[in-house]
Amino acid sequence: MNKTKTDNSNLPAKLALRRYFLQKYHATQPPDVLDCCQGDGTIWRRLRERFPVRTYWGVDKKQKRGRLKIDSVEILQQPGWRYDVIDVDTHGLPWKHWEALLPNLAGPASVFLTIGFVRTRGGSIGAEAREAMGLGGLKLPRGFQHRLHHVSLPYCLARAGDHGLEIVEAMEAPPSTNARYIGLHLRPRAV
Amino acid sequence: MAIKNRIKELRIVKASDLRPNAKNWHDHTDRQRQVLRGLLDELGFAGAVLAREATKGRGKKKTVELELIDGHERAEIAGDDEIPVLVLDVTKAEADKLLATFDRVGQLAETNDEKLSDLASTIDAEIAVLQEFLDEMILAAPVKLGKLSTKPPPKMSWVLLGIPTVRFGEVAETVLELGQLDDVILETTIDE
Repeated sequence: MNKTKTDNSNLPAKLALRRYFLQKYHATQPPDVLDCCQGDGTIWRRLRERFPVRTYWGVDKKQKRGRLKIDSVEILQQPGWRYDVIDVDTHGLPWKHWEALLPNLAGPASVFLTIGFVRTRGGSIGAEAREAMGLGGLKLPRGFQHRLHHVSLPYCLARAGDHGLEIVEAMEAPPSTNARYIGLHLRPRAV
Repeated sequence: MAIKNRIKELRIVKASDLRPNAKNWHDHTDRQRQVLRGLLDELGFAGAVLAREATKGRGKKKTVELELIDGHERAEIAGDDEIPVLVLDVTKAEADKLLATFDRVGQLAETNDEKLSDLASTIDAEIAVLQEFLDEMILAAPVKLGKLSTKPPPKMSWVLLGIPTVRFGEVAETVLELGQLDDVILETTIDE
């Protein structure tokens, strides 16, 4: 019996978002893809049936046979990588990845972000979002965090501009009860 | 109008003993067979095939067989296994009527892709071909993408103001007024 387990949480929305950007920005030249939170790989297995990629590297913090167990933030933090598509389908907040990739993005790229909702009690918007909002030095009461989460998105996205990047297009798929799904196409701002 | 019950009995019969209906109009595909096989392997028989008693031969050689009305593919897959059969009390003409309409009526229903996708998303199949079949249902749901504004937000100055809860009433109106100013983000919380 061939056992198959998939993480299908809101798969249609995630796939529709990625298909949109792949068709629009990567149809003529197959992209190099970094799948930062690969999980069981369902999303890109599905996408690659229809969209050819030049290279695909799926990594995850979870151990899997034949896969490098690594926090993809460490990859993005190092200069020199050349990915046209960076997929951050994380379970929590993607801002660590976002902040790591921005200074090292050398060319046009599509970035997919899954943004988990912050819990009402005890949840945190994360140091990166607090910093982006200018709240870095302020110790926030717990009750504020999940409410500030809803306004933190434009501040986090605006960090692209601080690194000389322009957001060419931003799209959002319908959210689930747990997360928002954002797709962006970025390019270095013309000097 | 009282609806008649035409089910005579439920029998457990060796599938290969059932006589296929010569008028069966379904052309079964390999894909359908694979999925059905997957379902039967994973779940087993959760419904009975339909048949009627039909005579064969004449005089002393006359025998009674069960002729299939619905469930040819299931019977074919089951081979020599025993399967549940609902024996109907119907004439040959009524059996033809059932054969022509049974599946077609079900096909008249329209599919709510969103609901089907939601349902399929909650199911994990053990068998790969079955999971692929479910994945197709998941992907059939229409998804509308929306444009996301990337207008840079204003640079903010933040004020964290602590007020003893019992004295909040003294400033409540002022706080509300501040919150109504354009681009002002106002959040209040109680220290628990």
